[in-house]
Amino acid sequence: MIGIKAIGRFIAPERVSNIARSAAAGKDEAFIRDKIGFESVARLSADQETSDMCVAAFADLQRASAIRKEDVDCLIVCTQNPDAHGLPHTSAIVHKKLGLKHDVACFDISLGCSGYVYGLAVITALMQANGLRCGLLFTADPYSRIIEPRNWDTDLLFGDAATVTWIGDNPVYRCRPAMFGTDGSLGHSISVPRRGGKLSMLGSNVFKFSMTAVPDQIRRYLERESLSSDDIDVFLFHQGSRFIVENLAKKMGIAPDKVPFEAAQTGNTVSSSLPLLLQPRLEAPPPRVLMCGFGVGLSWATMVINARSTSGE
Amino acid sequence: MITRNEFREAVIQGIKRVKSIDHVDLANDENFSNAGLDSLDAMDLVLQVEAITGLNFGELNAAEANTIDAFYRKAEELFGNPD
Repeated sequence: MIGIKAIGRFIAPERVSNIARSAAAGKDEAFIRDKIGFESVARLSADQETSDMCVAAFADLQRASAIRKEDVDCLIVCTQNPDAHGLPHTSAIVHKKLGLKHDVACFDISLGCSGYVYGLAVITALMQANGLRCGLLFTADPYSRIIEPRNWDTDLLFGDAATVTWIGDNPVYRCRPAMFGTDGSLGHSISVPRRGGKLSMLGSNVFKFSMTAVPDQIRRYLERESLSSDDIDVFLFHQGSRFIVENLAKKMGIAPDKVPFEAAQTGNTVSSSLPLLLQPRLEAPPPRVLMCGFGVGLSWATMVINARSTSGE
Repeated sequence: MITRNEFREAVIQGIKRVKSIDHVDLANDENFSNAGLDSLDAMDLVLQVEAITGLNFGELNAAEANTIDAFYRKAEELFGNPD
């Protein structure tokens, strides 16, 4: 059975301090730390492309695991900020930059904060259906490319990062079936309204969605999977903001220590936020982890992953 | 639609929930910030008032409902005036 074997990561090294610019943004420091939660945000340098972030994440994966380039037969990039205009697809550019063989399935997935759960569902299903053995799922979305500087609704929130998840045999985690949701009628809540434009976000809509549709799906998911909250060791929620993560835990009656917020120094890294949370937990994997990604679309998706020792259930 | 007084009580109850406090002293034309709410708390307040009243404010921008009076005006626009 295939599943998650290892994760590599790249967080853009430059940091912009939200504390230092709190006055300019009209926010006090406590609001930045305790509510938004992002004390600084990671920023990609102007000369780096999305594919460069993927390559850097893969280099980290190589340092942390026994992945071999020659074994890769599937490569997916989840991004809404592809290299150039997305033509060719960024996954093909990553394929070239990594120097992979020709027998590789490569394509992009256009999703935001729900992208990691979707990506896991897609890549594991694709691999199982087609006999593929070594997959790479990249998440890379440099939102700094589409943020209007000093638009404080977005500039204080988003950070640039990429991850790559190695999917193959003898995994640390096996993926259970996911549950998906979409409300396209609220797509304008997080959008780039015109070609070449900048990111626009309606905070009230996003918060309401996060506190209604998201917990509703998680409850229905747990019920479908015959699980209770007590069966879950860690809840990894998309790191939209500290306020959202903490209120989601509160709304669902989950103990705060089971719902980490670990993005204070990076910002909201979109589809990378969940794998960034998961990566440090692979060494001593909690038996059962629930992941929920939610955002652009509006789109949301939930999945439980079981550590190998509990996969027999 | 509920009356202005019922709506006020719902908002006061909502503020208590958001801030986890027992007492709120706020005039109808006072900004919610005087009760200690910041911009994110105000978003939460809309959800609390929805839960208390059963009204759905849809895509209401919380910043446009920053007093009890302003919030009630939004309710009137959406659901009509009972008085």
